[in-house]
Order: sequence, then structure tokens, then C-alpha cells
Amino acid sequence: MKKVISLFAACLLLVGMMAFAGFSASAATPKEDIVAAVKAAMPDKYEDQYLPMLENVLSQIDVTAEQAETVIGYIDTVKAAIKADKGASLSEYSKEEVAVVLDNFDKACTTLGLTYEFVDAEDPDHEGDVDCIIYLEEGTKIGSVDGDGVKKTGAPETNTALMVVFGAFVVVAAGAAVYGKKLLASR
Amino acid sequence: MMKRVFTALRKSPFYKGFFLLLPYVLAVAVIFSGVILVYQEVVSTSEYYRVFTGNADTTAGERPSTPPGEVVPDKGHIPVIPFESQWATLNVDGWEERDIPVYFGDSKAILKKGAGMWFNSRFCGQGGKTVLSAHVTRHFYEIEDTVVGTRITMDTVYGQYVYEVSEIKIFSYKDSSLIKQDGSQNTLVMYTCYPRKNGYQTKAERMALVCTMVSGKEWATYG
Repeated sequence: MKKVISLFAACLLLVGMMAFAGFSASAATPKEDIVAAVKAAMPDKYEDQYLPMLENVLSQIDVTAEQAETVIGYIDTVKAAIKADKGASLSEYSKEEVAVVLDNFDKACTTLGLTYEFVDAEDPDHEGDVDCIIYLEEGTKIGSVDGDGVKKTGAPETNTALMVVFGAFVVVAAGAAVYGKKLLASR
Repeated sequence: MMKRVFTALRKSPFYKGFFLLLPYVLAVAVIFSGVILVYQEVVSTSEYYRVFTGNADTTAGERPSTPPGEVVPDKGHIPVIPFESQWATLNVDGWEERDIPVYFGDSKAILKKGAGMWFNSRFCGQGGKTVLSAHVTRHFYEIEDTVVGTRITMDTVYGQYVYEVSEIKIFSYKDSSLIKQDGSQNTLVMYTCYPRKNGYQTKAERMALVCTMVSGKEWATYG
């Protein structure tokens, strides 16, 4: 079964996954309203883990009170559709639940003037991991949401491959030079 | 039969010519590989090159276009930092590597240029964990030589932050619990592959410096 934590995390961003507490808009700014709605919609254990993503998206856009109200409506829809916390893997949820999340995530992005795409993760730790790349409507990338987080911090792969090829060339060249010399000497 | 073919082949001028030319061909390949390697390691990561090619980093503070409707301005927040832009310069006391550029995001392309900040972490002064990663073969080579108590300075586009290494941890590349927000306040986590002699292995462990903020202005978040 494919583990697609990053897809789930991306969906958590704007729509909130679990229905646990009611929410009433009372925070000072539209962005704070959205964050408060998501916090109210998800269990505490996910709150710390995923909220910085949402805040980092919001920090790069402007949000009106009308947009916030619409987005909070989508969050409420998801709250109503997801009956219980089944963990952080999308595969644990029914097709219907996933469809509601994705549909409302799409609507929330449209409302906020954002587009997105799911792409294969750069460094997948699990088969089928995807990243969610978020853009402004005009195409500027404003975020990349992944599920795992720990990056590959050894040597960059291209350079490793090049160094191996480089080393192989040196060894073969040295061998060929010695053999060529022998051939010349035997003439 | 095979022996006869091989003997005939050895006597042919093509065979000798091939081995006489081979060192020159390989020498050209070695030089070519070297040039590409130097280009990737030095030229393409140089700020001068990025300016020359028009790919210089955008500066922080530029706000995207405003949507229709009334916008309530943010108060007490750090300036807008565009994704993938450089937002800080990192210096660790005692390191030979100086002025490490820190970018918002930690894609492969970013880690070739400097240290990357995980998108699911907070900026300095926002009260949570700031998580930075960089290649052990490049900017974070000296992590293994760092001791508890070392002073770390982050010069960001909105002010200077000083940290002190409070813990050094080694963790599995599969375990992201250390880098996730856990309620700890104003913490800087810097990690890379460990040990550095295994830096070319994809499944090496990671070493992290967990640092506590000593000074710096605090800012609001939306939460």
C-alpha cells in the first residue's frame, strides 16, 4: 500500500482534516481566521506538525475577509465529512473522504488565487510519495509541501556520478597509455 | 577458431591504432569531466554567475499582487520572504566555512547553493523550530567538529539572531521527529549526513545541532 503522507499533509494545509471542535471566526485578521479554523478542525497532535506550512503559504499572499469566510466554509465541509482521525496516511481514509478533502482543497486554493500540482517526491522515502507544489495564479512558486522532511544531505548525486566517471576514465586512460607504450616498443 | 580471429585482430592496424588513440580520447574525456565538475561545484554556485545569467536571488519584502476586496495588513510579522529566496546568512564560530547563504525551501537545487530551510518550519524569531539542512560535502562539512556551547549567528533580512548549541543529536534518515515542531520555542536545528566519510551513501544517518536562541527580536505568527 502506497504511503502518501505528503499528499495528506498538503490537504491538511487549507481544509483541515478532522472534526473535533466547533469554530467561530473571531481572530483579528483573515489569515488568523483561517489558521484558527484549521487548528480547531484538527487534533492537537497534527497542529504543531503542519501549521507552519499553512502559515508560510499565507505569509506570501494577501487574503480578504470574504476569501477567508469562503475558505472557512470549505474547512467546515471537510470537518463534517471526516468522522474520525485514522492517522496521517491518506490510504487509511475511504475514497469518499479523500474525494471530499481534495475537492475542498481545490476550491480553497481557487478562492485564494492559488494553483497547485502534485509531483513525484524528489527524495521519496516511501513508494508513491508525492510533493504538493503551490503557485500563485501567475505561476510564481510559493511553497513545496512534503511529508517526510529529512533531506538527502550527502554529496549531490550528479557530482557523485561525475566523480565515478572521472575516476574510471583516469584508470582506463592510465591502463591504455601503458598498453599503448608497450605496443610502440614492440614495433 | 577464436584464437585465430584474435591473432588476426591483434595484427591489424586498426587494433594498434585504437590503443594508440585511446589514451588521447580518454584524456579529452577526463578534461571534459573535470570542466563539468568545476562548473557544477564552483561556477554555477557562484553569486557572480547568478547575477550574470539573470538568476540572482530576489530580495525579501516584495508582496504578491493584491486580490480584490479589503485587505487587513499584517502587523508584527516578519517581512514577506519569497519562496526559494535567500533570507539569511549563517556563521558558526570556529568554522572555516563562512557566510553560508540560507534559502527558504530545501530542494536539491537549493542545497547546491547553500543551506535550505524546511518549508514546514518557522523563521527565526517566530517562536518555533527553524530547520536547516545542507550537504555534508559542502556547507555543513564541519558539523561533526562542533561542540556544545558553540555560538551561531543568523543574519536575516529582518535582523540578527544569535544561538548557542545546546545539544548534538544523531538520528535515522527515516525519523523526522527531531525536525518537526514539538512546542519547543525559538530553536534552530541544523542537520546533515553523518558520519561525513559516509556522505556518499544515500542512507547515512544524520547529525543535528540543536541550538537555543540567545538574542533576537520575536515576531508574531498567524496561529
